Amino acid sequence: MSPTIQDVMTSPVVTISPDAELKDAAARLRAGGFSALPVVDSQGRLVGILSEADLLARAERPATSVRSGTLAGQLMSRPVVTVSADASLTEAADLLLRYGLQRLPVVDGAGRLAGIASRGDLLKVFLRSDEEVARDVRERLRAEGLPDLVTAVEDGVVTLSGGAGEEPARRVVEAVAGVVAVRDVPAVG
Amino acid sequence: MLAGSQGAAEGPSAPRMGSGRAWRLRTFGPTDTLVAARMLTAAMNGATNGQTLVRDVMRPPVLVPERTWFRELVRLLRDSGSGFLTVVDAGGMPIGAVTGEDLLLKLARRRIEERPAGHESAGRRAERRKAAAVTARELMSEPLVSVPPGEPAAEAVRVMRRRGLRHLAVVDGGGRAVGVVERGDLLATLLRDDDEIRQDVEDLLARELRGGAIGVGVMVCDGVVLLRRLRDLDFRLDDVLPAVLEVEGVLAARVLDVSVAERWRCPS
Repeated sequence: MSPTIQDVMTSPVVTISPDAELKDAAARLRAGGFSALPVVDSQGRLVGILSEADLLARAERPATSVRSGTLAGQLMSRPVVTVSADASLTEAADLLLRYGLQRLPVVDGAGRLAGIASRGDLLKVFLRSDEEVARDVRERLRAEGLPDLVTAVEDGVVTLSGGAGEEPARRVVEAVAGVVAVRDVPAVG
Repeated sequence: MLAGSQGAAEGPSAPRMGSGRAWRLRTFGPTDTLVAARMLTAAMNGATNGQTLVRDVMRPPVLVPERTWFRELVRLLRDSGSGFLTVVDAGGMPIGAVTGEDLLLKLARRRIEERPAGHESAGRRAERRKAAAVTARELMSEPLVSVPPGEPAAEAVRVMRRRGLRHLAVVDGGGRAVGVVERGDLLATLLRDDDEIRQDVEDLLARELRGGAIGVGVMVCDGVVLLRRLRDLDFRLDDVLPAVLEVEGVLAARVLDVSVAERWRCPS
């Protein structure tokens, strides 16, 4: 089965509450080596994102931030672009690219945070074995009612046999997450 | 060349530390990040002539041969913890760059290919090419946008802003890739315009000093604030340094003994 966001996202997620002090947020980021923290309320609902860049800008004025007592909820950004757990990797990639984001929070129907999917998490799908990719490709072809023209998968490149008549199969295979490219071998005879 | 004389007899010379003038550096809060340490070093090194250089903030480059395969690029990006790979030719010379975003295009391939093909911008055509690419050479953005290591860091920031980039390759005089500047490493302070900082410092002085800021000359060079007396003042100029350091974007601040008659400008 082709991986969905749920399969590649990081969960559980380190989060921060809107009432948290900035120095706690900074400590949490450093401890985990993250670049951003989702801000969630007491019900676990996502209300914003606090990134490292936001904190660094503020850290330049330690005296000011202590005086004004800025909390995570005041510095975070919202609305947040999110994706649902059953979304496809293609959808998620499209969102990341369109909005120029580094990461996407994954939420359930009630707006509760389920995980976080970064660019790196999505790209992991290309590190799967050729066997796994072949399995997904065949399953997809079956699901689309197309013949299994796969003759090999090597380094993410799928070889299809069958000549020019395989155009629909080629498009379907190219769209399977983890496939790097599709090659044809012209039909013999 | 900035003129900072000790006395009339000496004539113009570079400002020197330990000249008897108060020399205050921003104190960073307790932090274990490499970036903050680098910034501090940069401020101390560069501050004698008011400049933080690209070499002070750059990271080592991750070089990949142009024939490197897609999966290997994904692995390299993940293992290096960097978002930027410098593509090199057979001679080891940099020819382009691959970022995580370029690799991500492959996942969005179907949508990219389904876009109506007519009247596409150069950027969109590049996306199509990258979505179909399998080697570093096919994936990379070229020509490589780069800065020399001796360039002021603020210039690197300007280039990144102008082109909407998150990284810049650092290439030396011999054409070799020697580093990468990541936007995240350039703390927010470097993004601040010298003119904006000067305005804020002048406003601060106007607020804090009796008689306003009229007797004080302010110059800002790459985040380093230089003050001088334009006439006799009834307070020590050094006493305002702590407040000046608090202004956003200020890396360091000092008072210079430069007479009113002399023109002074930031080192170029």
